[in-house]
Amino acid sequence: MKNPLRKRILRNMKSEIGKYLAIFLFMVIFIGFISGFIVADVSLKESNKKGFEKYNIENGNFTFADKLDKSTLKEIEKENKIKAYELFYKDLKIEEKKERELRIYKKRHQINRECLMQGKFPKKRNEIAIDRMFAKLNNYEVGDKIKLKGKKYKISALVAFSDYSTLFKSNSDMMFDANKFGVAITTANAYNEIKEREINKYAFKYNKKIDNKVKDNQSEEKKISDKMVKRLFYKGKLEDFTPRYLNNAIKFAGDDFESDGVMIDTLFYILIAIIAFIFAVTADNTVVKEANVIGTLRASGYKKSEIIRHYICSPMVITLISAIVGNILGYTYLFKVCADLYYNSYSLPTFTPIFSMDAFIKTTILPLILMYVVNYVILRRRLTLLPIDFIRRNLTKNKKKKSIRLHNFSFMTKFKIRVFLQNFPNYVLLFIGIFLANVLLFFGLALVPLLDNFEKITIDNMVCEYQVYLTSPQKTMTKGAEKFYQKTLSNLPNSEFRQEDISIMGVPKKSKYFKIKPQKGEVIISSSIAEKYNLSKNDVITLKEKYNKKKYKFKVSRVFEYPANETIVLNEATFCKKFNVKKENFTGYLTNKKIRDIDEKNILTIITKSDLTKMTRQLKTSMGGMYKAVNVFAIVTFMLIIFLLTKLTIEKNSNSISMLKILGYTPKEERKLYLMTTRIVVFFSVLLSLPITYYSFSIIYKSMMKKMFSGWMPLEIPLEVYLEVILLGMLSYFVVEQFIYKKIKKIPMDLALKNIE
Amino acid sequence: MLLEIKSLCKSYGKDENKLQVLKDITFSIQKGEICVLLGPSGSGKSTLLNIIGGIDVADSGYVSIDGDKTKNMSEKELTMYRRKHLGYVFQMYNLIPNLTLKENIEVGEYLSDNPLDINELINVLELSNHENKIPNQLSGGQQQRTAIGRAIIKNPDILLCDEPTGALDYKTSKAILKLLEDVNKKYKTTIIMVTHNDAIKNMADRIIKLKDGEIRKNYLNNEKISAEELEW
Repeated sequence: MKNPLRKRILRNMKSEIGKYLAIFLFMVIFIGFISGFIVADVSLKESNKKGFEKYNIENGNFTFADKLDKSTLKEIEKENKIKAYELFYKDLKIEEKKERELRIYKKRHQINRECLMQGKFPKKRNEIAIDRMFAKLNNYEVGDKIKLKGKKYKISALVAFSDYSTLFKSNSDMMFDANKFGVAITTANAYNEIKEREINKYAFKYNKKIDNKVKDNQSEEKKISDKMVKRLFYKGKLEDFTPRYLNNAIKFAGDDFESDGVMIDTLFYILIAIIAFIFAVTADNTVVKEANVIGTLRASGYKKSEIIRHYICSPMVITLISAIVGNILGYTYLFKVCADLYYNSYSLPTFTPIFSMDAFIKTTILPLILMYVVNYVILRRRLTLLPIDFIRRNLTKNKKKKSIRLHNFSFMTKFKIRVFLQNFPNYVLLFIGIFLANVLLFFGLALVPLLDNFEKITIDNMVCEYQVYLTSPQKTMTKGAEKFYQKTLSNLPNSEFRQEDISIMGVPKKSKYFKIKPQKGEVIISSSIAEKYNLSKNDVITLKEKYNKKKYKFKVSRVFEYPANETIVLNEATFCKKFNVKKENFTGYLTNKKIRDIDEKNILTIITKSDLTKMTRQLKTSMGGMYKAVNVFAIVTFMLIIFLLTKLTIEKNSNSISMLKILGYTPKEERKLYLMTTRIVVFFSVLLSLPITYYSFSIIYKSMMKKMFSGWMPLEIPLEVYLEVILLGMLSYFVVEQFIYKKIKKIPMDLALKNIE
Repeated sequence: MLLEIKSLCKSYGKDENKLQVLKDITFSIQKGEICVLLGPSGSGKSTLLNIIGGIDVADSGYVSIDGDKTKNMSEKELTMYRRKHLGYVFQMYNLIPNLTLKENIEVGEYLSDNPLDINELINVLELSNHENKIPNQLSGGQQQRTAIGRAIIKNPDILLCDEPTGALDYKTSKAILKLLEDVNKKYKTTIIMVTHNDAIKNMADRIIKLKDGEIRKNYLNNEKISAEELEW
């Protein structure tokens, strides 16, 4: 005979439709988004990886001031065991839009092929295909006209360039700006007609395949490319050499997929903790509600395992259905939403979603196991009580408690205090739940203000208006220009820290810009390094050369306020000695006035205020959508937790509420007695959980920043965020209270009469 | 001898709050007997029944059924003891609210290797016209009959009834008592019934009177009358 209790499973779910629907929706959103995000992330990574083959992406490129003749190019190919391709381009300003620039190439057929996103590749002389990202940000569509160098072109297609997935105009730019710089192709004839200086860039592929996946091989790639650059130097006026592993336009997006994985993992673990908590609360809620039935079944001879199986069924079914629906949504729709977060930043080719085992484990297996384990533990623990305790609804082990005397209060106040004391364990749960939801809410609310704050302090702490990097030492007469030395080292990456660049600067003792007066032998680290690596005076930080094993140790003498960059400042003499640099081989100038007496060709790059704040601007644009999604999710979580826990309190007290009705209390009075207490508890929970929330958030944030970002954003949360958390928390509660009030109204009067045992 | 209770003691609370509810209870019941545990509120009769039923535990002493002491049983064995040998009827019925009358009885049937025929039992219980109703569509008497059906369908050796008529009117109470008597006769089920109603003792084979946790009287009823003849 089949267990007749199975007939209850569907009926129980129907009778508790509100609770199960709330959990279902929560789980579907959670599973859908996590699955969608992981699928998008994994698929984009895979598409990015395959793109190297599919679009035949270069191993590197070099630019000469003049076009190479055929024999020189052959020599280069032979000496370096490469195949070189002409990839000439012309940079043109868009006439109808200020400060917008397009880099025009001929249609590529062999190397760095384009991916057609919309429309048709140009066939006529007046047709042009432009980068999709640039088009989107500048409101261009297929069929629109664009005027370049006096000629109107019709946009025939939107494309993604395999060598410009991130639109860096120059590889030395600190950040890309897809608003202002884009790439385009025309037919060869149309290209040849453009009267503009042509840049003689050559892309190359190694004849031997170099695996660029493994880190160690990067140094192999470096060795090869280092040798190549030396050889190229003698072949003409070499203007630029960029091996692929250093090419931000190709590599940046791929690296970002990796770092976003860290962020989504962090969110995932917070959510899993919340889900485990919600599962535990609902399991306990079920036990409280079903105490009589459980007691009767136990008294009749039902085994604990049979009872656990029975009560585990509904939540497992709900989790399974949520996982199926969530995954369907994830694979069919939400992955596009999540992929759009990347498509809003990068110019990526099309991709097809692929099945992700990681997503399947995280969104299906793990929640099912979690649901099972949490329910099992709670039920098992509860079932240690005697059957008679269930029948009598004595579900706490400390049965005899002395009641607190409350003489000096009005009746209503006394009643509310009693409600609070009786339901204290529930309110502790409510506090924990609110704390967990707050951590999530903090994530959504705090990150944009953190970026704003970072932008502000970066500008406030700027050492100078222009930081000019030269290709070789040059003299200038610019007033106030001060020489500096610079070297980029890398940290020693481990499971806690990702690999990142740390800039070592050598400046004069009486520097006008770094007003920290570095003495001989002193090591002064920026506050960003101090915070990130938890360093203070006399601590030692070891750094290494980026592509070989040579290490350098720095014993910290002082910390200076400089959040914009991870920088170590040395006295110039100390710098030259440490890195064996001749005094005349300085790197560039720090200046507040624009340098006009050095040829542009000798300037590698200039870092300005706009460069320093590009990162925050770009992050805000690309991640804005995600933060909003997190906020909505946090509020839903918040409401769900409050709903479940307040409902539990009301259910526990339903007999008393029913009795109050019999005595003549109106629902409004009952609301005052029961919900006012909960309202106060919610308010104080929101308020009191804030310091713990901040503390927990700071731990998660710091660990995330170490793994995810190069650089450091100090954790300074403005007061508005705290106020927003309190406001949103209370608003969510008031919405939930309306539902709970309806429940109170529905409690029948005969309930108290039936359960008088 | 079916059931033996020896030197049973039970108290609740600690130190100055300690309340001794059963004091050195010793008696035995033969197979097929109807035994009534009689006493005022707080005399310990329900606690005694719960300990016999294995849903509460004694501080000392033991309950033995056919020589097997429940205190020596593991939790699993105790569950199996309840499953195989006992049926429980509560004052407040404790039916499962979202199962129909028949399904509630099936909850008991599922536990037995040798259950009674469910349709025949529903007929005996005079519930044939209500088998698809859920508990809140039934009267108190019908609910209690359903609870008895759930307890006896598994054909238990002992039926434990805790104030089975406590929530019922005179007429319905007599019908329930008649039903219990019929079950006893038809299936030879031993019945232990807790009541504070002095009149009910007259239908019992054995009467045990409790007061303040002690047995005041334990005797065989030589003037047993049928349930139908009971008056109060």
